Amino acid sequence: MKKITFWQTIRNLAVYSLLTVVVVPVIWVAGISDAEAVPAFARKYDMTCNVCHTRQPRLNPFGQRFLENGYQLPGTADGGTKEKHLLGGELNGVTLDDISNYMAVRLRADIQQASFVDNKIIGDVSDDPDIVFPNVVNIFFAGTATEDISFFFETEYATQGAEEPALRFERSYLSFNNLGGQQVATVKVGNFDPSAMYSFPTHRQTINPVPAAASTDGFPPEVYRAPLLPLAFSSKMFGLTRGPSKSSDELRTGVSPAGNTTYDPEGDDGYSILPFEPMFYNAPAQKGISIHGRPFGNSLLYQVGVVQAETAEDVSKTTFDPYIMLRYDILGSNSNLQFSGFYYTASKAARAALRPPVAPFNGEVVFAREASDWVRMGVGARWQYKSLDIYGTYITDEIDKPDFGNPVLNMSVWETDASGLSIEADWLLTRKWLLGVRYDMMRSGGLSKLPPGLQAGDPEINQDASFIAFIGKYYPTPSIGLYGRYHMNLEDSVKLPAAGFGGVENPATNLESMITVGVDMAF
Amino acid sequence: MKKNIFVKCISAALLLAVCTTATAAKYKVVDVSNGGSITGAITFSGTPPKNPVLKATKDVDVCGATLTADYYIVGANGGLKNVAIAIENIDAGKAYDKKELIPFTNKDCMFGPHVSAAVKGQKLGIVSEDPVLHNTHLYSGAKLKTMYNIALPLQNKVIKKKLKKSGVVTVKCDAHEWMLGYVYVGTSPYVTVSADDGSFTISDVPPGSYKVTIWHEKLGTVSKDVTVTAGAAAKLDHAFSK
Amino acid sequence: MKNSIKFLFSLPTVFMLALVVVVPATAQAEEDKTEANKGPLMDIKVSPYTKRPAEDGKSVAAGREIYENSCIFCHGPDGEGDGPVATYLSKDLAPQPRDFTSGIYKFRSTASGEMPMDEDLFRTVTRGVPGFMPGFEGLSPTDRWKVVYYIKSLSEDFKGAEPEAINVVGSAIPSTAVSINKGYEVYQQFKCWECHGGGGLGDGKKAPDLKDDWDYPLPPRNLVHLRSYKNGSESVDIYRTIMAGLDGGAMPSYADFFEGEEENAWHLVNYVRSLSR
Repeated sequence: MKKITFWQTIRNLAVYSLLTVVVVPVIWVAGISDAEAVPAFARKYDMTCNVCHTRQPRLNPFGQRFLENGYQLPGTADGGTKEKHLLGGELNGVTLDDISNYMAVRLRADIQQASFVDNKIIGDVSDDPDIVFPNVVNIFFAGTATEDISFFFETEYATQGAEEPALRFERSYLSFNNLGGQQVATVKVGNFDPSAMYSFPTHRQTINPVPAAASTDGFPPEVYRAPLLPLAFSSKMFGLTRGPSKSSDELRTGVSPAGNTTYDPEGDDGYSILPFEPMFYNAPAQKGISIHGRPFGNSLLYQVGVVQAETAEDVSKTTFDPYIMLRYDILGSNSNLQFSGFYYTASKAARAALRPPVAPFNGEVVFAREASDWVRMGVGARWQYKSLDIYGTYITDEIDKPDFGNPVLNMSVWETDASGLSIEADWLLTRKWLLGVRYDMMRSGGLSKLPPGLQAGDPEINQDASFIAFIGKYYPTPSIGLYGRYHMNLEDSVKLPAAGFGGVENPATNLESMITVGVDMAF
Repeated sequence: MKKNIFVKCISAALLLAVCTTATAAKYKVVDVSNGGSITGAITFSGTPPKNPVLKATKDVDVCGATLTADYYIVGANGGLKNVAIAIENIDAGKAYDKKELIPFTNKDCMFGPHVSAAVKGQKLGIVSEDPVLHNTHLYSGAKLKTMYNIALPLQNKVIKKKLKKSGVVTVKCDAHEWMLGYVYVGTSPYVTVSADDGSFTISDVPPGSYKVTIWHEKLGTVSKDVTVTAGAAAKLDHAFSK
Repeated sequence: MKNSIKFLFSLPTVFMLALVVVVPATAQAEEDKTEANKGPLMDIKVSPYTKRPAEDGKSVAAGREIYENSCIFCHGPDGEGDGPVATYLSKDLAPQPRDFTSGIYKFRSTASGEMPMDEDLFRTVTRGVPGFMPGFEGLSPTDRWKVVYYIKSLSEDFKGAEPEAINVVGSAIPSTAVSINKGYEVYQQFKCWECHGGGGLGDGKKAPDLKDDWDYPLPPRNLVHLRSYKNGSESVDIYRTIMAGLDGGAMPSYADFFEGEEENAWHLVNYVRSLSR
């Protein structure tokens, strides 16, 4: 189990205690009341958070339109010059607000206690308190440089996940708004979440995602703890990889000139795609271009775009995946109903792989001759009615059946279809209390059975996963949320090793339940 | 600015012209020499509901800790007070004092009188006799649209406000949420409020057939047809029940 | 060590956070006031070269379209203040988005019980309401007038109403110690403290349970937070609030008690503004 070292924990604790101890009381003392406790946009327009948010971070319809309009008030192009600093001369200069009007900070920290099936011991459940301080601090700068030109830059410092804690740029993009007229076409260029306007935007979940604790450097990947994130958007496919980068001869035949393929354990030449990995039209951030607008009246939103993605054949090469999304809004008394659908195609997006332990392969990784195209389609809906906010999405994925160029290996069974469902209902009980229920389900695809004789027993390799989570979030002020949540693994009666697949416990079932309490605040 | 005044004068003149030629809308004063009257008693049959005890949430030192509501005032023989009786569809009749100030007092944290009658266009004379801040908030109609919201910080200073709309005017005090009063504003001077014993008289009514509204704040509204003959008193009784 | 470098990165974070806290606390409310459009109570920044569009069916229809782009989310599909945002904005509390069909308006320059003037609606659309409604200066003045005409079309009470601005006697008086003292006496004598509290914190003895006309809790304004005055915090705005009252809320009109002594109202304005220092 890759644990964070003791000193790292101390360091994290120190940093975040400092932030909490310094920042929160100062803001309190500054006398900020409900109407004034506000991050950047709320400061700029002198509004409470909930003009744009149902409860932070989720957006209400006004906030959604504000985002769509490139962080300008809906129906306007108010980049404007009000209260701004003019840079670069009187004429056509860039105008910037005071820094407090475009800079904000979001801090998320929680304590997690998980109980999961211990490595190699089937049926024994260990209650590892796992009191880590996985933390995320986002600093973001967002606003308008001039009328109809907006910017967004976000840095993230995260200690969660298998990687070393790092400071990196998350989303960063420019937005050129209302080209050709109000709401005709807005172009976003950069690194951003393509699903920001979808009915189930993955970046704005009440629950912070908990990534998998896994190592994808080897094949098959070793998963120590299943993640908790919107399963509808995950890859859902077992047995797929990206890479390695080898000569095209080797790729075509699936066998290296020396007789076997090699899988570079350092991970530079490829990596396994976890079935839980968030893919495609999804957060956290994808490099690409998106164009959206409502030229056909106020109800129908279109979005077309491309995402820059690695190719499966050579991860050092990139390709552009196109997508299209349509959303239809019906606004009524106390009600906002949206229906969306999207279509995303990724060519040569993943490569099937097997690692047969028997001769002549002897544990070497064998790749399919061709990388597979991947088509993803989703429908989503969101209904806000008074203090109830229900949103969900159903997403299907389809890959090609792999050909390994070997009659034995081609007797492996692959499910080329998979689907997932994520749905959440939030209820704002009182001004300060939000209760929620979330259901995630993945009907997996990909590698189902190894060729006969290579797999002991009959269980399928690709396992479905489903989780239910109960959330309570308390907002002492609109921009500070204290939450507790409880996740239950609904498949935990299935406790199997995926024999032949690598011998480790099944990633879908090894997490039984998790309790998390934490804070999610923005300034 | 000047142009605006000019426009206003023209439109005021036009409005006046329209109003004087309107028929059913406005009340006309005529000589009533052979008038009759409507007289009667409003009663409550059976045991009247109990007046709730109102808890004084503010200014307890002036208002007392509790007050008794005055919604149902039933005298001996079941006479019901504070019922408004008005002829609804009369457009010509006796003269009345257009300048009369209808008294309306805030005293001991209650409105007095609880129900008054007035004619549209008359003024309500609002005053506070209490040493605490009252605000007299008048609402018109069923939808309770604010007609006036007047602060009364000083005692014994009368504020005059014109009653511009007919119908039931509900009066509340935001500062003291239990306070409640009504002014029944009629379109004609043929409007009155029943006395302690439930009796009332509407006099100098031109002979004819009329619709009369009988209104109680809690017990509801009834409409009765009454025919008045010259020199005679038409009897109109009504008994409310639960 | 890698870890120390990462730790150092967090220091700018702390610094930035400190900046974030300090800067809004010192930000000043905007002071730019160009010429008023009409009368001393209409503090609207409107170019003298912009003419009001005609108030006709075409303007109302255009106003409806603008309303659907910008306003409908809070104010609802029929202007009843029941947009889907209303619940989240101010759940179970006032203010709620205005119900235009009720014909009740808080921010007016007219006497208690009167309809607002067109300029009052224009001012609100332009300035917004601090804390709850953004100001739509991003809409051109012409577009803002069209929205005003559409809003007026939603209530029968505007038909035939000719609201007049209340007569403003005098103007803002320099805020000297003498004036503030006189204002303090008025504040005591007129019992403002009973709702707004001795120190102006909105915690007077009458403050609990105050409601608006829709029975949402609407406590008295905390006068210390000048920027949070929904009807505006310039001297003329406060004068207007005192004289016109806020119909739809509990704040009554004091015009009758200042009759003949309007200078005292300006002293009171100075005292109220002094509470925030």
